[in-house]
Amino acid sequence: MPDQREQNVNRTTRQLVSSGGPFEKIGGYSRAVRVGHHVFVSGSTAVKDGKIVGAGDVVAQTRQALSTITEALQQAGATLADVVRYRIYLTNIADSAKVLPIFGEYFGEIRPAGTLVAVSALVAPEMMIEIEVDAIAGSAISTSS
Amino acid sequence: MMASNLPRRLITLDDTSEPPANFSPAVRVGDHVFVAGMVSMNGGEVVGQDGVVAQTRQALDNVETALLRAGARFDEIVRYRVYLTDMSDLAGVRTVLNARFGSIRPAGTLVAVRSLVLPELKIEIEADAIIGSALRDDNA
Repeated sequence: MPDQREQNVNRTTRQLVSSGGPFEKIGGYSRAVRVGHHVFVSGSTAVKDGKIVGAGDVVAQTRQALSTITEALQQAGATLADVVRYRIYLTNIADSAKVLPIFGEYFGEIRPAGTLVAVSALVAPEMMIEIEVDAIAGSAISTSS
Repeated sequence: MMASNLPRRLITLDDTSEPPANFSPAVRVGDHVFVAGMVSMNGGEVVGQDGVVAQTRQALDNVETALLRAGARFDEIVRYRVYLTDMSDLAGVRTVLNARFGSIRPAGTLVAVRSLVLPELKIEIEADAIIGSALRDDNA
């Protein structure tokens, strides 16, 4: 294979954010990674202090996942207003009727690119929703203009 | 609005293969590399049909090949997504993911889907990388 690597690579710092959850260690991932202004937040579920919360309650699960994401963004020096993309994975598409109003609440003014799909399973059977986001720190719409 | 001229490089997995009609194994723009969903195929054939661990390794090897050919490295992955067809494969998959990503710690997402492009396939993995973003910067 030809060596495609350039001689001079622009070094950027990789900042890892951990929520201390049990899956991050065994799964080989971080809650979030920041490189330059880009923040990549892992698929987040309704896990708090290592335990699944809101069993059977997709509204509570959505709020917990968004809370985890908000904290991860803050640790990475970004905010929810910097989110440019979210992806929602549901286990039951009918739950979108309950989930989307919450996204309206959180993202109604932010209006990122959004994707919503139903999947056949998440990592634990109690989980009803997984949410991931990409953010670009500093990209928030100015509220002063 | 002014658009800057940032060239797009389309990456193939080897020098001989024709690029697929409608996608590239990877696309590089600036320092960003977007790797397509990779499966357990080698030379056009499905490999590791009997085991998800072997399939996970092959898919990750294909991700790495695409990255290297784009001028990136595996430890520059900032995000990956894993699509399984059967969540009961999770334990085996996690073992491989932890071995390959444990010191890199990208953002990760893992879900099960109803089907992949071929019935023999148990896993598909996609990745985003930023060149120069590795934690360890030896032999960069």
